[in-house]
Amino acid sequence: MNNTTDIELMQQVVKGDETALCVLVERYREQLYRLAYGLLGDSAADDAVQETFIRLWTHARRYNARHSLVTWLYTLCCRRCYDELRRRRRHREAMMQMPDDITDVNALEADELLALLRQVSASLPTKQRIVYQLREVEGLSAEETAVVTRMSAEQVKANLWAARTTVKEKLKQYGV
Amino acid sequence: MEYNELITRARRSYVSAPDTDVIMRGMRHRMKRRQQRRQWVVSMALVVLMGASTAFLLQPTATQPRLTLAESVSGQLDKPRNNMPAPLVGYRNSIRNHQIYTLI
Repeated sequence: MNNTTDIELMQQVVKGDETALCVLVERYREQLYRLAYGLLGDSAADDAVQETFIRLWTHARRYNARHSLVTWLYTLCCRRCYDELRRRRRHREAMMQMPDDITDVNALEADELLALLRQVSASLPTKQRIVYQLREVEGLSAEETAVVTRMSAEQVKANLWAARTTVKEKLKQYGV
Repeated sequence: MEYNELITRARRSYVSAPDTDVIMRGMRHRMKRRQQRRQWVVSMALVVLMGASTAFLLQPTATQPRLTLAESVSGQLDKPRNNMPAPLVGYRNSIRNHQIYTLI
């Protein structure tokens, strides 16, 4: 099963095969969790990942093999994260405070840097934040990001440019 | 540290995702709760529908045809004088005198 392609696994999932679903969960849980963690934080990332795989299970017939499965999964996960981020803004949750106890960025571990980026990008508008996470942190291409976010390539570039500018400004206080 | 270096290091970060078993268990629990919620909503909708249908079927039906206002008053006007309510006596006379039959 582990050598089976994504398309073959999705064909099994459409038929209701839970084993195929387990393989897909094992394959993509790290990537999706990392994306959701970067946008939402720890506890909400669990929910987002579970909801994404539930959507994959219940809407497997909607998968179009024109794009890769990981792109489709990113799309589902992003939509979930986008709804959660909008809900948080609607309820006027307090914006994350910028960490003021960091003195030396060079001494931070990689996951601490990721957490710092998440806090710094928390003040960005939702669309910019998602584009930034996908392009900058997850390393998706502009085309893939456009497919995932349903934006045009120009919109992705514009949002990324604006997000980078804001993040770089905020990181200046840490000597970056 | 340069910005690009920070991004490169952040990309290498490892965030430990929950195990597959944990995710699958969580998914099954959510789907079961959703199914129970759906069943509850359908049951409530059926109860409301049945209640409304029963109330409609049990309402009393009219044994006599309903009269219009004109018909009911003219009925009163045709009564013998001693059975007619007092305010209508003078009214009956004015109607007959002026031959006004339209009351609406």
